[in-house]
Amino acid sequence: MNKHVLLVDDDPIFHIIFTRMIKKVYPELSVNSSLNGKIALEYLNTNYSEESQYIILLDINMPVYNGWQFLDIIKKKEIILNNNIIIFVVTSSTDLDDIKRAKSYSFVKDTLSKPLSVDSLNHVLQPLINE
Amino acid sequence: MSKDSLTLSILIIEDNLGDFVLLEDHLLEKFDAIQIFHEESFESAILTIKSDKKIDIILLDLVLPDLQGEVLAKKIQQNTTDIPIIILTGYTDIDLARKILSLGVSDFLIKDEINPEILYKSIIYSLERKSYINGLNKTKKTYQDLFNLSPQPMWLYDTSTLFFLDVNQAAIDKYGYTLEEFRSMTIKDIRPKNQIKYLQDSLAKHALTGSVGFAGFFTHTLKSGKNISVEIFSSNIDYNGRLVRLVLANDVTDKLEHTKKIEAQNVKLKDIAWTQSHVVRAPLSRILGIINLIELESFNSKDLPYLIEQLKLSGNEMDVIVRNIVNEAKLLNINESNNE
Repeated sequence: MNKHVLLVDDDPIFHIIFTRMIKKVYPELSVNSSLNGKIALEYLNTNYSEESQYIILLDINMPVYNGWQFLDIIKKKEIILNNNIIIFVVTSSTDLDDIKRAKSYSFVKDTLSKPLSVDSLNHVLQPLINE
Repeated sequence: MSKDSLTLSILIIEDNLGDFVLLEDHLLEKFDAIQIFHEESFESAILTIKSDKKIDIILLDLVLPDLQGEVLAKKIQQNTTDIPIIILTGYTDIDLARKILSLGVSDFLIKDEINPEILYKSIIYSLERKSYINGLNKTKKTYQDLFNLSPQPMWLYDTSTLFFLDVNQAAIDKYGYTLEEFRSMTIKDIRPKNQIKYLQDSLAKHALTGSVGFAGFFTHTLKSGKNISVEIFSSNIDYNGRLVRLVLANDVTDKLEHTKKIEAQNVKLKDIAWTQSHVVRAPLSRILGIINLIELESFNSKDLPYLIEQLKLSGNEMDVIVRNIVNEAKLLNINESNNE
């Protein structure tokens, strides 16, 4: 099964940090970068395949579509029922309200706090990669 | 028969010397420790009354050379607030006696019928009655003072006409109207126009059901036109035989203002906390992320200059954010000192 990692974050530096880390730890994974929720949705609309596994790392505070808007839109899409999209909310916020809110979406697997370390990446990705 | 050892000073106002001597005899027969002052005219009696002599009771002949009858009784009474007066006269005019008694004179004795027993009984009875009435008046005054001198504005109004019946000094001071002005106004006249409906709803709920205690928060308008927020407590009371509403108004304008300010400040503090969590953490997490990456890629990475440049940018970004927070916190302090 094809595995795609989507990083949705408006911070280009975070993209650089993240892609380099992934390259080091999981060189076989391809990472797609979107700077906001709208771009990410467009990517899914054109590239989605039932045969693939999608791992989305989603930031909350972004322009255009923020993380919440992205979650609300994808919640209404049929593709989410296929269970091949796994979302992690990744935010620099340590606000408990944000964490609670993120966990209220059934398809949000977990919340991660920036910065992402190799350990936290392993913790999150390993079970999915080794499937 | 033993004499009464009560210490008494008695003023006898009597122009007929024979009658005076007889009265004196009667008194001395009954009392052991009395002092008697004798005056023969209204003018001289008044002088004695106004002097610093202590007088416990007055025996007054109703026919004096310079003043007689009802006018005499009235004038003596006006000058003696607490001293009981017993009227003496040769007249057997019951109507005049009644009339004078209704003025507040203690008793009425007909000269021809006076004997030591009657005189003694009348004096003791008058003294006792007077002290009882004084006690009652004192209690009444205490309760009136509780209303009049209360530091909180209070008033009474008629529940059917809504007219003010009485207001205390604190209400006069707070609202700026005189007692006379208040009495020509209804309780609607101290409200802004847009509060009349609210008042009527509240009256239906509280005044007309006779509920006791907290009646709600209201806006009142002072004579100056200024609006204040008040907390109202009320209850029904009996006032001179009719059922009226007693109201206590507590000005909470300052308290509410203060609460509003604190709430506004809380919003600001929450904003700052939100900023801490969301905005400050963004560059900070980037800095930590870059450090993670440098560790991962080893320090001789060719991208090191680029990553260090990013560290610097993020550091500067954080510096600006922290400065902004400090400024906002300072603004809070300035608001505080302005408010005082």
